[in-house]
Amino acid sequence: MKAPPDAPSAEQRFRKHKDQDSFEELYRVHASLVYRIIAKIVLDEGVAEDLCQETFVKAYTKIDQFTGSASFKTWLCRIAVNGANEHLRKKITARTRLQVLAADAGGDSGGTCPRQSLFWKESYQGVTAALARLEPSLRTAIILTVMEGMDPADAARAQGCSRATLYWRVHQARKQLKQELGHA
Amino acid sequence: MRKSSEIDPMLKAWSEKIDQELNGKAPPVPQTPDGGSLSTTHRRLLLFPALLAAAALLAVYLAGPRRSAPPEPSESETAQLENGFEALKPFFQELVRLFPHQTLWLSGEGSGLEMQGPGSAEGRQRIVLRVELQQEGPDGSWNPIWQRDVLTHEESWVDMQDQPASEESASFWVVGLETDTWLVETHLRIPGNPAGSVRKQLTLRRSGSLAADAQVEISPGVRMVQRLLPLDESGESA
Repeated sequence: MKAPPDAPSAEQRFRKHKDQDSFEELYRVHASLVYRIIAKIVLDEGVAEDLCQETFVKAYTKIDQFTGSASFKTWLCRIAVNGANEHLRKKITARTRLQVLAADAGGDSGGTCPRQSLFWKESYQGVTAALARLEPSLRTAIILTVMEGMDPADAARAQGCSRATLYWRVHQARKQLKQELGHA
Repeated sequence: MRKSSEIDPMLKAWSEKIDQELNGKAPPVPQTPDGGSLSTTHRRLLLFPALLAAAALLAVYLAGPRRSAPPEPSESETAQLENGFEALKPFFQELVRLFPHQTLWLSGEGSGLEMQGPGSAEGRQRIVLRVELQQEGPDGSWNPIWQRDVLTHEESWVDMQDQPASEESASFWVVGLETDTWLVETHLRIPGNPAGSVRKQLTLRRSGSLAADAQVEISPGVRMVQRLLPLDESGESA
């Protein structure tokens, strides 16, 4: 007699039924990581709150596109990374205003508004400023690998690039940060 | 100069400190629609615009209690907001007629109006945004302490300062996202307001002609409520 299948995971239940309970369970498991990654990319925890929620709403609406070729976590990270970078791109369209705000705070965060953010506290400011000056794809690469300890293959998937590109980005990011922080 | 190997520990240390600060601060579970995907719902609503408004309003009311925080505005507050839009609509329509395809923002509070423009904004969605700052009274009711209605185009910065020397300022930026939502970024600096300067990015789901309320607690006992009304070039609800 065939053994009963294992209880389906929250991800499997959500893919099948798209129910609120499994969605909330997935949120509880992954929200912290998604929030951290986004916050470090946009360097603003307030913006990250909104983008984190958007990430999960997108996951909800696009779950049919999740093929399972990567883990759900990696797929979610890709949505988060895309959302954060989309946010930074949109910010550029409102550049005049943002440049004034960034100048007020003493740094250019690549389109974010650092005035209210914990990232710009005095004790964090040096590294934050150096990260802010990195191009977003380089910043994201170093966040996913060095800071979050993601497997390079997963980090590459999350960034939608090849592993070679990811390594190059991490290398470039380290090189620039070395120049920036070497004089700190 | 530090070597690369010295950079990683520095980054990790920064990351760990940031993680400690962010720990437990992930936002609450976002609201999701029941019974079908957002895209399916949207397609249906496009086909049945008359049902759209009713369904959207119903969804807002039904979904309200599941939102974790802060509480929804009362029915009377919602009605008040809708009446406010209706009262201003003829005025907005006239402005749209007088200044077609031009960047024009206008804020209204009581009898005061401010205008800025013109500038070309052809092809960009015209919208009306209401922003209200509310304070919780001792009886638990929410009372408006500051409010602006703004007529503008999406992707236009609205910067307003009541008086040239005033420390009070507000700025707004709205953009429609592919995900069928509106993103509204608001910066407020209001002397005497316990929150001081706030900057919040809110997502309002398109639910027919009227975007659903979005609100956020910006300090204990103070919340910001936003509502958005897309208009076509004739000034009618989109």
